[in-house]
Amino acid sequence: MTKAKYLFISLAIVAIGCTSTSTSGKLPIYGNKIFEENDTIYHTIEDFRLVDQDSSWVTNATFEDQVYVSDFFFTSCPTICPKMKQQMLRVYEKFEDNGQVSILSHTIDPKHDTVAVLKDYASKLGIKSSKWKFVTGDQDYIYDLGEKSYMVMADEDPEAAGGFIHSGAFLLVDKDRRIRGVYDGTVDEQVDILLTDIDKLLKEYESTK
Amino acid sequence: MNQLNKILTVVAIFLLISCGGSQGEQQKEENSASSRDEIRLRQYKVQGAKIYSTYCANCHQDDGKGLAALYPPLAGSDYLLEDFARAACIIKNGQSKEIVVNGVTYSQMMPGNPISNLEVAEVLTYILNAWGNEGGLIGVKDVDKWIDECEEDY
Repeated sequence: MTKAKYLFISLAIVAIGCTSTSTSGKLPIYGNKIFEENDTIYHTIEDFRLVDQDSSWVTNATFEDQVYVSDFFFTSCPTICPKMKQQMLRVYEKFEDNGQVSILSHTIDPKHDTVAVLKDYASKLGIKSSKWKFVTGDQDYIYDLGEKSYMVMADEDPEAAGGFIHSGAFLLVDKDRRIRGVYDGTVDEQVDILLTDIDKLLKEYESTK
Repeated sequence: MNQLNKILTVVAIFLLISCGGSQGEQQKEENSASSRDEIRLRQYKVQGAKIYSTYCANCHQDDGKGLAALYPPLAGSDYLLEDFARAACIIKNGQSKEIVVNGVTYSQMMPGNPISNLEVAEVLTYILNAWGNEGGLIGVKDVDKWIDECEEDY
């Protein structure tokens, strides 16, 4: 009984500790850290080069001095993608006029999702600006990028609806290529948090200027 | 005079009772039939809502409004409301042809759904009575007939 009480109290302290850090203003930094003398090296998104719906190259440099939200999807996806896109539209609409925020959606079905297909999809979704980039490239390259850089899983699976299994995660990446938030892109409330986290992240840069 | 009055009153009362009686019977029958339908409508809507959230809501969304020009709306959809039989066939077998809904062209493929005719009736009843749609109850016998007569592809 007392043991259980202690456990409860320590859990409560941990819980309080967690909430207080998350409300302090700074977002956590995700991924493995390497500690070197007086310095911490964080997990970062590796160099990449993909093509967007306007046939333009998209690389890390495209997002210089920007934060961006990244996800993985495919246009013929009958399961979670439409929900994800509906939620991502909220990000697009809220930050439409903010040059510091971009969106990067990777197709995991590049054989089908060519530049033309992505262009059509984006325009049907009502995306007019280049703020939201739908990118394609070599399939293995994209899967590798997803797994190693964004820490999300994507795979071909003939058993799954639509032929692919993949995560519905939205990832928030800061100006230093670090992952600062992971959200379920199919859940309203999670995307509410993402929207306020983007504001928080932008504030961090304001205060360091 | 008094006598006549009495007779008239008796006749009037008799007529009233007999008419009232037969009217009451009819009313009762109608009432029980409509309350049976009412209960079934409610059951179908409850079951249909579950099926909807599993198989349909990803694309057509919880509010039935669809998604931009990618996925058509079901709420207030002229294409849906003009032909219930076609709707049942598309729910069951999917759709690959381009369609126009409320003046907007949609070409995204819709997959068929691995559900029974009863479930088609339930989900169709739900869709036809949600978000301001007023399509009433769709019975499973109608759905059986419609599914048998579906076109090759839509």
